[in-house]
Amino acid sequence: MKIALVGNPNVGKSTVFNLLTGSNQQVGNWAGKTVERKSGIIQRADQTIEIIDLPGTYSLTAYSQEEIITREYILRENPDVVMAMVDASNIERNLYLVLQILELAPRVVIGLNMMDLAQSSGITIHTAELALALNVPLVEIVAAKGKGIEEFLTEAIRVGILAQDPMPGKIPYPEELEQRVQAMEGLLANNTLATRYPIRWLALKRLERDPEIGQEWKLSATKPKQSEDKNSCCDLGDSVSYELEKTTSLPGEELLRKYEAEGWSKDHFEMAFADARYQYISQILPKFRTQLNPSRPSWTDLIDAWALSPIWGYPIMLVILALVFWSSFVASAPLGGAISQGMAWAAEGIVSLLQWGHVPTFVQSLVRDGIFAGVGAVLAFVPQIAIFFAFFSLMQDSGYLSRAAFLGDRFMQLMGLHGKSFFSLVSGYGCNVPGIMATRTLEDPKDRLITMLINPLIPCVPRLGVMSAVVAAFFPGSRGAVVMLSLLILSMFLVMVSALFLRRVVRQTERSAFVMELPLYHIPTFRNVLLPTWQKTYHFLKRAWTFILVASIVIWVLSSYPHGVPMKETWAGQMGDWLTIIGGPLGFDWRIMVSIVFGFVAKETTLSILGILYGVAAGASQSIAQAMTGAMTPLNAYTFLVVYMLYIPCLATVVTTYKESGSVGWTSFGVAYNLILSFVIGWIVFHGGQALGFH
Amino acid sequence: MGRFLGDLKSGERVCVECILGGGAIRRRMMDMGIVPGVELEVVRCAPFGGPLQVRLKGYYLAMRRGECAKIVVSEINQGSIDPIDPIDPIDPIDPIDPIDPIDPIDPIDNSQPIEHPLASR
Repeated sequence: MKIALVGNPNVGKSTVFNLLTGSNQQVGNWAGKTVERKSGIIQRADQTIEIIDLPGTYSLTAYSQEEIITREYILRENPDVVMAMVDASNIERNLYLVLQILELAPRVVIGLNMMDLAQSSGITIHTAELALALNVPLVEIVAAKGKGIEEFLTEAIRVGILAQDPMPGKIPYPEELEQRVQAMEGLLANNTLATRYPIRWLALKRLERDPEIGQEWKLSATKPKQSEDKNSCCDLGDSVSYELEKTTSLPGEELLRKYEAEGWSKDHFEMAFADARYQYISQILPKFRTQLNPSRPSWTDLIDAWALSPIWGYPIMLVILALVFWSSFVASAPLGGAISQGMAWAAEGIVSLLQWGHVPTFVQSLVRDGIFAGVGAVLAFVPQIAIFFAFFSLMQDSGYLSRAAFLGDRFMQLMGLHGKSFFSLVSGYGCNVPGIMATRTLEDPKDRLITMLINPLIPCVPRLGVMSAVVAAFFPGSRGAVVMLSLLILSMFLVMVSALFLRRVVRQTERSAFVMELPLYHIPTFRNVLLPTWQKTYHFLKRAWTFILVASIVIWVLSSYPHGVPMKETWAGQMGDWLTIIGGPLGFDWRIMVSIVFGFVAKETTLSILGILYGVAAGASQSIAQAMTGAMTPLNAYTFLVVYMLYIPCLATVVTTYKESGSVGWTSFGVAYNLILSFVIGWIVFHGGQALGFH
Repeated sequence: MGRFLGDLKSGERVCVECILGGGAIRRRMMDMGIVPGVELEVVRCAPFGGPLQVRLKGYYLAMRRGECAKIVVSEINQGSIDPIDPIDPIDPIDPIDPIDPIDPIDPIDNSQPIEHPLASR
């Protein structure tokens, strides 16, 4: 039996899903989309049930990816039952979605959640009357406390095995609309599609000129495999994709043209249907809802009075972001250090084993200096990313994230972006990988792409660390602060310009609407924070480790061969020599070019690479930077800093961009854009600086 | 009397008359519950011309001014107040007054009669 879980965003859907499936989840992406696809297989009453957690959506039109996915799933995969979650405190808009589902799939069970929230704002829902009014079975649940979830499922199974489709209440459309719907129904009645979908729904969609009506799709990929493995919790799952099988042209074209002549265009129909649904809801509302004026303001009002206040809103946001950053990127440092240390020990252990087995020295070196050093450098920032993901889930679930989007929207508007881009960009200052992954909250795919592509221009913590070490060596005292600030302002300026430039490149003509829900605050459950954190971290490692391993080996080979020659004559050194063709105009020597190439794996390694190239023992960052002061002028150093700050942050970012955009083209465009931009700006800085008399 | 949601100040309560324009934005608003006849309250406006926080039916939405400018709203009819009441005896004199150089308060007076009869309910 297939059960789909549907509901508005923030209704507690994932809580119910997590409780039902436990660790027995498969998380992947919807084919061709960067929306998470979660499914789980459970056993109840001799039934094997596949539960799909469909993305949170407000309606079944085709506005956002989430809506398209939800609709396509119900249309193409015909789930046996739809479990519709409804927020009692916000019942009108929630029922709007339920009515749309009922028209398409009559086997629906409503799970009424957040009754406590509703009660605290003076709303009482009489569940029996609500079930009666819609003629749909209803179960009251408290998702946060796990109450009523099993009953919800049991009811869904009961509806799923009914011999006949239930007959939910029909939405009465106004007379002139009803006539047109019935006329269309008459034309469609003998069509083969009428056996698969409710006739009324077909008629409505035909009147709306929905392009998908009449198309038949089949599953082209294998269904998600039902892994027997107990640890299948984070199986990526096979992506399911659909293939267009055939398109049948439907009758009614003439009628549609006639209606259009009468002024009933497709837009007109859409509006009229939406209006009628809301009318119907407000008509039946008094039957099951009593509302008192709340005597005291809700928690959300009280918190928002501070969190969104014009005076305190921004300081509070700064404090929260600072706390998140400090915990993720500063307090986690010992953990990262422990991982590097552990990797180093593991390397030593394996190398001594290899020595004992008389394995050739180049293999030993490959293991220690290539694989373990390279992979270790990347693994060391996994704790940072994991902690950051945990905070991200916490902020998203609690409702603060959309408040941050609300406060940041004004600044994003300057760049033609959405308020939700704000958090992604701010995250970039910690680490660009979660920053890029945070673009998932954006609905418009073009907004998402632009935010993804400009994110690497924001210097992350490791880059800031290297930059401040170099700045401290070349520009001692208060001059250093000015230099650092100038770099940060430069990056912000370029982020802004790039966003505006990229809007033309991705041909974003229509700006997406900024109509965002500010959900009521609530305390997220432990499970809802930790489960996604684990899944995201696991996915990041799973998708990145092969690239990182290969890159580590390539870099080891380049810097170790031909064997036994000084650094300048290795392949890496020779490559650096060629690259001075590009770097020369910017005043870079081969060493800088080599460090720029190697920094591609992970930029925090740049200092130690420079250390090796300048012949300083690794370890003391200050001494490396000081060794550089002998070889470079301050202008050289500043140019290096600019290029260093702006070019591709690291391999993990590139891999993440590829996975999130799903496009090799855009990923390569992003990489090329970063490289060209960084060198062009570097050239301007170097020559501009010379012209102004700096050196 | 149509005004736009974008012109409102925080704390004002209004009723949606209609949504101008069409396409995706309008559909999106309908999905989010902004339909003709619904009551809205502007809770607050983000500083520097940022988005508006709007309360409707017990939930909150954030909307940019650009989008709010497409929503035509009207004052909520309280019913109990006589519609004749707001028409002030001063009103008809006002349009003539502004030419008078003596009256320095005029610019304020001028703007008030437009809002006053409605705002006073």
